[in-house]
Amino acid sequence: MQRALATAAATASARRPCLHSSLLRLAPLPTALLRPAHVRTYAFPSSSSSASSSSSTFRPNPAYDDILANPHPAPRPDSLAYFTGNPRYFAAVASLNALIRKHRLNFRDTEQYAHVQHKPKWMTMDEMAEYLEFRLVKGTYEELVHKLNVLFAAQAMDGAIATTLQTFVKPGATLVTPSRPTASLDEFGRSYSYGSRKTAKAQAWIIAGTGQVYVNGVHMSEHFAQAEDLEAILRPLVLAGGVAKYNVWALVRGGGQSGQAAAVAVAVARGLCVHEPPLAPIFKDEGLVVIDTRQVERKKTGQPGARKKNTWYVDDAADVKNKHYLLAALCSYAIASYLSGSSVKLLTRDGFATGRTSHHTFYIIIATTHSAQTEFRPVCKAQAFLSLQFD
Amino acid sequence: MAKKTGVSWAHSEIQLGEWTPTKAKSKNIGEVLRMPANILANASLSSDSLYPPALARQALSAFMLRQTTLDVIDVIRQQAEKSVCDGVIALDGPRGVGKSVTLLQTATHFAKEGWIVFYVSQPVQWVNGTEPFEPATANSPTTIYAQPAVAARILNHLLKLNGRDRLGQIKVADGRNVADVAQEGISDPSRSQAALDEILAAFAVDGKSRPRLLIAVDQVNTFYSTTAYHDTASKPITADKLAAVRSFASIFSLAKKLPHASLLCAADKSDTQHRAPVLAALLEAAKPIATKNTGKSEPTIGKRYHDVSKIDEFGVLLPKALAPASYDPLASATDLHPKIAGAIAVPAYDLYEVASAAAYYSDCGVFSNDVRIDRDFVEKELVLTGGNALKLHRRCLSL
Repeated sequence: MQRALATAAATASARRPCLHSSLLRLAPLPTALLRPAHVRTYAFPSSSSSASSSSSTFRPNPAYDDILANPHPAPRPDSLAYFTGNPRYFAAVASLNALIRKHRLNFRDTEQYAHVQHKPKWMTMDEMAEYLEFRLVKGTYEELVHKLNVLFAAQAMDGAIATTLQTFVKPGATLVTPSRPTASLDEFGRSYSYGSRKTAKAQAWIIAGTGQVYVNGVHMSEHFAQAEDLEAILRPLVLAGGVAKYNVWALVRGGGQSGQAAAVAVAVARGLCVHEPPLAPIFKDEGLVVIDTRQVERKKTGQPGARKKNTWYVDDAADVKNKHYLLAALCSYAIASYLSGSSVKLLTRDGFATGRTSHHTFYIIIATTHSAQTEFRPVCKAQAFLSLQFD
Repeated sequence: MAKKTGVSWAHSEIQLGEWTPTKAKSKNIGEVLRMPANILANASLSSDSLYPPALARQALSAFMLRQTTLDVIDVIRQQAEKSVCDGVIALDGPRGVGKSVTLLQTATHFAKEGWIVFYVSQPVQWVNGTEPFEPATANSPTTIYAQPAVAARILNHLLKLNGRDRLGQIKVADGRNVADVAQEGISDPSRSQAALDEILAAFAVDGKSRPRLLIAVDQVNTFYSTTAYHDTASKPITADKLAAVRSFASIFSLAKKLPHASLLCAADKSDTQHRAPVLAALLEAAKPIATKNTGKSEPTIGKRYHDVSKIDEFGVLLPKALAPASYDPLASATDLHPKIAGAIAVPAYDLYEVASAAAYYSDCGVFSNDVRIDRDFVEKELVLTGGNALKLHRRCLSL
């Protein structure tokens, strides 16, 4: 950085030799740059034109120190990355590149770390953005991970590599993933495995034998009544070609018949993989060793089931109540209109009222004469016809 | 396979060998044999048939010869050589393993050899409330009930199985021969129980002048269970209160010792109405009889019942789940408990027996789909069914 600034200053002085040439000749490094950062320097022309003042080092008037003091001092950047838009990322990449160049690693070859089975859990793109303040896109992230893997494969060369790589490991994880203990046969040649389905949990112990399969102390044909359940348990053995070659002792609880059968089947498949590891990829492709994590979905309030919704329906009970109220109101209105003499619609002075609910329509007609009854009844589509005859 | 005689299934006629004493050899193990025609002639679908009703269905009248059957035949023969029968040989095993079939094969084998065979195939009919019963002695307080029809049927079956010629050689106490006494009991049911007792007493007297005797009883658990009958006080009657049952139970308990005779029984594990915890406990404690198949027997997974004979000094009564025999009404009737000389565990099918059965079903056209009988199929069926003959039969019918 100082070298760059010195070069810039020399260039500037070469362009303008009259301004600070004396300063540049006397000091190998620009003294202005060596001043404390919080003191801003300005090139004030000296008030006197004497040669003594021009030959001496320029110092601003100390009386102006308070004014010239920078209230917001900026840290001196220690890396060129400071001047980029993604300083922390480029600083990290610079450190990684330095290590790669130092050990002359072929960073273009992806095969050099293909043999590493347990790579560390590197941070995800989002985690790097959050914890390391990197601004990444997918391609950039992949390139970064590639460099991390290259260095991880060569970490034996230099202890500093592990220190650098630790920065990029997922929070809570370590650079060296502890090896997962692999299942193996016990001293009696038995394998232990576990399986589950819905709420059924099963444990299985498998040993070389003659095809005895016992579940909860009884033969599986006594425990499971359905042929499909028995076939499900035997499927891993059939695929492995070891139907009569292994004895299985299983304990299962929870769930129902099919759930228990599926749980035992998964446990048997996993146990067979312990006896015969080459079966693992075959069973994995068939989906025999994977536990089905689906569970029964809960019922929601206001619905008859988990997904089933209520259909539209008429609240008959409320409608009946409304019907009665309406009927009573209409009767009252009709009678009132009759008694008051103010008919609502009709030509006669008889009372008439109509109203409806969602399913019922009422026409209340108060016919005082026989002729009125005869006249209105045919045209009336009423479901309730109230006729009051007074004479 | 040997020369076959026919048995017809739904769509095919299968030729099979006949089950005769000459077939009872090790070289015929695994062969499916058909019951002799004279035996099948006495089989019917009715409940009072001499043989199990299933025998009347031609498709089910064939059975595979197993080593267990030969072992049982040897044991029976050895026991009959003794001067006095020393106990009951019990066939034990889970449901559907072949106890009743083994019993039937043994009984028919010795019947063919000329023995006198008492074969009781369905004693459940005696206790399930379908037969009339009455106090054995009228006008007196008694707890013994007679079933005249049952006794008459027993005598009828005795005559059918053994024939008058064979039974005519044996005399009862008053000088009449057993055949005549049996016929009198059949003709007059009111005297059938007395006739039955007379005949059994005659068998207990002398064993040298008569043929060997075999009493084979299936569903023996009904002898030690609660019946469907009730007394005048509406209390359930236990089986020991039935005269016909007592006749045989007294023999099984060795109250009546039979010379040159063998006793063979099998319990029905599928009958949940007539369970006999006492019998189950006795079978559990019975000494297993060593046979050629002893090594192939299913390993027991712990005892199901606690040994009530060993009670601590506090005399703690165990709960019913642990000691159901202690709560059995017949637990205290020790004089009627059978004296089990030994138990023969009927094993499940092994690989070769499953293959033989599968081949037979395939010949009969039982399999609906195009099922190929190969080692994988046989192994799978063996594991799925556990070698249980009944489950194998049902599974093959469903394929």
